[in-house]
Amino acid sequence: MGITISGDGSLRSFNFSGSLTFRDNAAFTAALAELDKAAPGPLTFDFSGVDYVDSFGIGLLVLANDEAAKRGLTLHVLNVQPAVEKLLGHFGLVEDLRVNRPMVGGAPSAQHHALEALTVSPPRVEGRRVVVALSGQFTLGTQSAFLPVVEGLTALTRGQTCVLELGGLDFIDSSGVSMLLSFHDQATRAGIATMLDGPCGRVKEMLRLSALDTVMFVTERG
Amino acid sequence: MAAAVHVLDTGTGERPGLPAGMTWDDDGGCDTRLLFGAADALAIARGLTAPYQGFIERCGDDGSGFARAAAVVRAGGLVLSLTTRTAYRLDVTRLIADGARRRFHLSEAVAGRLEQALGEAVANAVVHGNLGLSSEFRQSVNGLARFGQLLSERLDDPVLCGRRVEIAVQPGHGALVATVTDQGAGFDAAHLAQHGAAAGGKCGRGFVLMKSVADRVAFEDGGRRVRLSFAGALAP
Repeated sequence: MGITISGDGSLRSFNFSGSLTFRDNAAFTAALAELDKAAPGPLTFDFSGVDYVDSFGIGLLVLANDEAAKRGLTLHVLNVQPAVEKLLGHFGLVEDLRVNRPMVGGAPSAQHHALEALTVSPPRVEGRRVVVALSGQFTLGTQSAFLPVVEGLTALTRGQTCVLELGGLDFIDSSGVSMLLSFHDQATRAGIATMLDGPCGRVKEMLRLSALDTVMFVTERG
Repeated sequence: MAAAVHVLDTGTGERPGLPAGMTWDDDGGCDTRLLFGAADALAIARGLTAPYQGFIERCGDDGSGFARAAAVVRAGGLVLSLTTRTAYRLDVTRLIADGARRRFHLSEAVAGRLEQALGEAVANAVVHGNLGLSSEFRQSVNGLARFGQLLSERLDDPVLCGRRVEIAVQPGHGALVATVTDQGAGFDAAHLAQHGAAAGGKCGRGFVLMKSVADRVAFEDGGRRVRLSFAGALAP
């Protein structure tokens, strides 16, 4: 497992990658020591790169949540992959650990703060392609903004391609991924091809980790 | 009489004596089923890929695990016999789950359940079984630090870190059966079964998790072996 600490200098955003298991005791203990340097407020564990957690790892998360609370910090475990979220749900920890729940009262970094909405551009027709640009955050809380795109599929004709430009999208969670999959399924049934264009950063990584890039056609910008 | 199980020594050094029904195979012929040698991820993965059916780590012990490994091979299964140090250092669970997925044509869902259950069983075998560490330390940051210190000390203990963890995955009575065996002091499995994990607890979820992903979980040999069964996992 890898842990990096980032954010706006307050050491309140921890990014995890790999597996969180009984082998990660030392790395996690060192990370917990960093909590003493954080001012009270929200604390995020970004789990977008975590694909496996065992019961030892769950215990470490519960301990981190308790230790954060003692220091006036509110832990949010974000970008949790579906399999890991299911596991946490099995033990009734989704609420306790505020899994994938948007932060209330201020995010830990300016980056998160500025991207709490999903913006969908008007459709742009380019020959047989209809292009829609998404920007901001694609989450459970913002996915309703995408519904008109799904409903708009009925206006397309068989053989057309619907392109979603994702270059302006900074964050997507499992709900957003599910919505994209539903969009793809519905388009396929209608004989319409789909394409995800230009995902970058964490969005690109999430598409890879969720294997959505094996289902939908993804193009990258140079 | 069952055919001999051939073992290829991938390194150099002293070889333990083999039990009846096993033979060293110095040229790695087509009958070779087990690899023996120094353990790293590549060597283990090779041992779990056809035509091989397992890997036994060289450790300077008496080779008593060879007979058990041969039995798994004859049953058509996959087997790993590793030191505690290696089982701690490498993600052996993923390696054997991948090997089982290929060998038994498991679905991704079943392979995922197998990996999760084996992960818990291997963690228990290493931490609680062979290294004899209690979960009670893991209730606070200070306790976690102490736990880490003890873990490090015991992984440096040649006796404790040389204890073996044996992992086998094989067909059995229509199901896929995985076993993980350690050489620790064992534990009271009946007590464990009666006490689930506390909602806010930092430990105690491993058994619950194994039960949730395997169709049957049974402890044997005083808690030193856990048997995990996955019904309907094998293609007809």
